[in-house]
This record gives sequence, structure tokens and C-alpha cells, in this order.
Amino acid sequence: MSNTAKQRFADWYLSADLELTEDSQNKRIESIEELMKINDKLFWLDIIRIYLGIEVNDQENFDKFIGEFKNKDSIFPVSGFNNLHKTLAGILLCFRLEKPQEINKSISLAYLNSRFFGQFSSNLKIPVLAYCNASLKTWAIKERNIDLSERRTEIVDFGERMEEDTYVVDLEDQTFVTNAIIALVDKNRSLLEETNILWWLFGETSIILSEDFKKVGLPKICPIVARELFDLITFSVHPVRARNIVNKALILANSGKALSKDFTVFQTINSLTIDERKIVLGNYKSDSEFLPCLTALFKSLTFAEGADWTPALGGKLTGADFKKSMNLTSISYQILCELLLVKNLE
Amino acid sequence: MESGLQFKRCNQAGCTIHEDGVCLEDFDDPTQCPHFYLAEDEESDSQIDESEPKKKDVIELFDGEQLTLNNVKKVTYKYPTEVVYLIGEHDSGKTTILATLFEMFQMGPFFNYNFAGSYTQVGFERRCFYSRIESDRSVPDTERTKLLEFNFLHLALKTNPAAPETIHLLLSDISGEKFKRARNSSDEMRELSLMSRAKIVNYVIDGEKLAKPRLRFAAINEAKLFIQKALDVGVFDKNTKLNFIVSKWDLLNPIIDFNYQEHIENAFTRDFLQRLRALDFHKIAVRPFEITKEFELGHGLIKILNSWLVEDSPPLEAKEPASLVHERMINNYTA
Repeated sequence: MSNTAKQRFADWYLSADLELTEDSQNKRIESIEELMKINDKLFWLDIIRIYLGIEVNDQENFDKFIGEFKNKDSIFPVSGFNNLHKTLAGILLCFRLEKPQEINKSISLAYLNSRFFGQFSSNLKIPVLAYCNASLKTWAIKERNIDLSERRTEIVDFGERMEEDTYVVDLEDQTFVTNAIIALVDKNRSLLEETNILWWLFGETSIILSEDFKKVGLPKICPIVARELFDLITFSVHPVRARNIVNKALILANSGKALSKDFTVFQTINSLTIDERKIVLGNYKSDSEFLPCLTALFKSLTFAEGADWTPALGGKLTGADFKKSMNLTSISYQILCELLLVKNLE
Repeated sequence: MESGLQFKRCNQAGCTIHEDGVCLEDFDDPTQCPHFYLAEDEESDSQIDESEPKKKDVIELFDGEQLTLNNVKKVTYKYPTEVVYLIGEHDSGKTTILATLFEMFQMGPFFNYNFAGSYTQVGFERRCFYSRIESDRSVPDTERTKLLEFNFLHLALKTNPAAPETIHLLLSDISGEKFKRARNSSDEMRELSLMSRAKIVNYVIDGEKLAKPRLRFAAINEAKLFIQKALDVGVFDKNTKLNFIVSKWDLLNPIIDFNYQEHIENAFTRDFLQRLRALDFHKIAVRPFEITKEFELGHGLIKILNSWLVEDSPPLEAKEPASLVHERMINNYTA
């Protein structure tokens, strides 16, 4: 993405309005910049809903979104113009994701999770997907890549200053020491995460079930791998190669053979006992279009083992096909991302 | 609200300029309209006739005429649309393509697609009019596109009547006069810059002219000049998908002294393909001089329609160079 979102605004906006003047472009961008100041995760989830063309959870968020455009442009159409609103929501998401902020993790995970079953349509001319992927990758690297080599030089300098007779501890040095310690702690976390994941794979044993991956078998190992990897991750987004790690664990469960058979989410969930489902689910107790697999797990708890719980999944998950065959790695990775979204929204 | 902000208002009943900026009297510049005024206060609707039904009680009906650049947003605001442009000399057959396409849908599903509505049925009908009435003309004809500004015909299609998704096309046939001016002037060509964001541009060259030795190379040169100028000015670029359509193929096909492959496909590919995203060639005879088994009504139209409807793959983004961004092996791990 070599051009900025601002530079690409016209290209994206023209999918909803062929006649874009400089004046209206400036007004739209001003409104977008105002909306970007909002730091409410639930607001941004509703922006994703607008982009996907589904009903918002909180009408106030929709009114805030439309109201900001109307503030700058009195003739901005308010209702019944879905394509325009969807287009602006998508553009707003791209603007938001371009500037690194903590809230982008939730936005990226939510949007990516919503795409799993493909029941929502969005304007593909606006590269929200690309921005989400790039944002997650940036955060995954930023959280884990802690460069201590510069700190080492600073610590050495600090040590030399402390040896001077006239040395007095000042606020700047206190801040420096605190930040250095935090960096060490984070680096340790990063190393701990790596080591644990490596030993987990090397040991080929499920922590939750206390059984070899091979003995657990497919498809049961699929949600178990997602949960266990989630528990091993010490940061708020998964490592860059998380999908590969998941795939490796599933291959180990398949006696080292490539995964040739597909399963459905329904089969995957039904392969677990009720207690096992509760362990995978953790504290999550709701339903959301951004958490389809966890919602399915939650709803399945009220049914007997082996029963068909899919009729309970109407409403927000209408159109999602839980009996569609899929690659197990995709299902497991999806569950992992949903668990991470729950963590980020807490 | 910002201070100093003014709101568009109109004294005329039924004018919606305060809602969507469109003047009932069709003035591009609403300040020219005698009924127009600016209000300081958003709430001062006193000039709006209170006896008029409220907007929410009114269902807006389109008049069915072709859409202009000013009011096409009534469709684009509501639906994701793909815009398709047809350009070429006058009488090359651009409007006939649109008229015949509409006629084919009147007869039923066409090429796996069902007609799902149009906001511009009157606009389509006007284009079909001359081809339908009984007249003294011995050859079919279509009224020449009069307007020099952009105008659009809307067509909604579905793959089957129960399909949830509707494809909305906006079809614009640019007048031959506008085309001629743009070919000769960079400034006029820049006015066609809207085409740079089209899903696909269709250049229509008159097959009847190609059939005539005295006219063929002039027609080919005019086409090359136009495409060259469009590329130079930036109206066409590496994102442009161009269909090069030879119309009236039933008249050209029997001509043996014209090497279509060399003079059209090879020549245009050589000159322009590198500078475009895609360049495809079509031979059509949508309204043949004589209907035969080889040339039925709408000949070649299916392939063109398919090119308009096929899903776009996103343009290739520059790939980031691979780099070792992590110091720990696990982060470079691949299965």
C-alpha cells in the first residue's frame, strides 16, 4: 500500500458517487478525521457492521457516524443510501487502520473473524481486508520485537554516571530505568512464549486433555489446539506465523501426514464433550457476528452431546453455514482469532 | 453546528434541493433558479409547503429517463454499481448495442442473466424507438445520442430470480461529437477522465467503414489517435480494461481484402497492450443487416456482456520485499 488512504480516497469514494468535487472530498475527509478521534471499541464494531451492510448494535453509533458527515455537509443523505454509507464506513476503517493505535487490534480481528463463513458482502474495491492484515502483522511484530541492544548502551552509560560522586538520581533517569526494566520484562515474555510454543509442539501432547495429539485425533484436536495456543500466547495478538503453528500441531495429530480431509465446524464442535467445550470457550457467554465459532460453542452447551444445535444459530449468524466442509487449519485458526478478539475487547 | 453555515432551500413544492442538492428545474447551478435561496437556520423550513406530504410518506418514482452525472447518485448511493463506457465515432453502433441489449432482456433471460429492473427504461426505449416503428427506412437505425454530457442507463441483473445479489450496471454511451472533440484536444480528453475509473471501457469501431477501402484506414487511425491521446492524458492507464469492438461484423466478414487479424488485433495489441491492464477484441453484429443463421439478432452481445459482468480481480499491489524481520527462528517458521 504505497499511497496513503487520503490519496486513495477519491478512487474508493467514486464507487458510490461518480461526481466527487474537491469541496465534497474535503468535507468527507474532515468528517472522517473527526470520527477517528473516537476511541470506543463498540463504536468501531458498529462501523464494521455498517461496512458489511448489517444492522448496528447501537443506533447512537450509526447516528454519530452519519451525523458527523451531515455536520460538514448539510445535504448529506441520511437514510436509504446503503451503498454510500457502506463505502464511507469502509474508507473510515482504512483511515483508522492506517494510523497505529491499540484499538486497531480489535478492529482487525473483528473484521477478519466476520469473513469466516462469507455470508456478508462488502465492497472489495476498498481494501479493508488488506489494511486489517497489515495492521495485525504490524502489531504482532511490534509487541514481540524488543531491541535490547540500544538499551544496553544506555544502561552502560547510566552505570558510569552512577559511579560519579556527584551523581543524583533525577526523574529522567528514573523513567529510563523503568522503561529499561519493562523492555526486559517484555523481552522475557517474548522468549517465554516462543519457548513454550516450541516445547508444546515438540512434546506433541495436549495440555487440556493430557493426551498425545495423535491419540486425541481429528477433528477433536482442532479447537483444543486453538485454545492451547491461545493460552500460550503472552501478548494481545498472535505471532505472525500462528496459522503455520496451528497447521503443524494438526499435522502432528494426524501422525505427521498432511491434512487431506475437510471437516465442518459442526463436526468439530460436536467431537468435544460439554466440559471440553466449556474449557475451549473460557468466559465467553454471548453471541456475535464477529465470534461465530465461539457463539456456536456457547449455544451448543444447552443441547445434549451429539444433538444438532445449528437451529439455535439464527439472528446475527443467519447465513453462516456451520455444516460446510472446511480445512481444519482454517477452523482452528479462526477459533484462535476469536479468542484473541474476546481478550482484546475485555 | 458551524456558524455561517447556510442551507439550500427552494420555494417550489416538490423540490428536494434541501435533501439531495438536485434542483427541480434542472439547473446545474441552483443559484440560477428563481425559486432557490439560502437559509441561515436549518430549522427554518417555513418556506417549504407544510401541506406537502412528509418525505417519509412519499415513495420517489424515477421518471425512467437516462440519468445525468448530477442525478446518477440516486442509484450509486443506494447500490454498488459497475460503470461501463462505450465510446467511438458517431454511427459506430454504440447506442445500438445498448438498445439491442435491452431488447434481448425483453424477450426473457439472456446469457444466464435475468432482468431485475432498470431506473432508465424510458431512456432505453428511446434508444430502441427507431428500430421498432414501421418506417420507410430500409435499414434499422437508432436515434443518435444527442447529449454531449455524460449520461447513464441503469440495468439491474440477477443470475437467477431467487439470487440474493443483484448486479447493477451503469452504461454510458458517449456521443460521437464528444468523442471527436476529445480525440483532437487534450483539454476535451481530460473531460472524459471519469472513464479512468470505469470497470471497463468499450471502444466501438464501425465495421461498415472497415469494409470500405477508402474509409478503413482513416477509421483505424482515428481509433489509434483516440486511444493514444487517452493514454497520454491519463484517462487510460495500467488500470484500464479496454474492449475493442468491431461492430457490423456481418458487413465486414465477407470482405476478403481486409486482414482483420493483422490490422486490428495485432496492430492494437502491439501499440497499446503494454500500457493497459487488459485489451480484448470482439466482433459483433447486434442488429445484422439481414438475420441469418450465422448472424442472429444480438450476435456477439453475449461475450461483451460477459466481459462486463465478470468479477474483477483486484489490481496487483506491489509485493513487499521479503526480509528477515525477526531475530528468532520461530517467527519465520513455516510448515
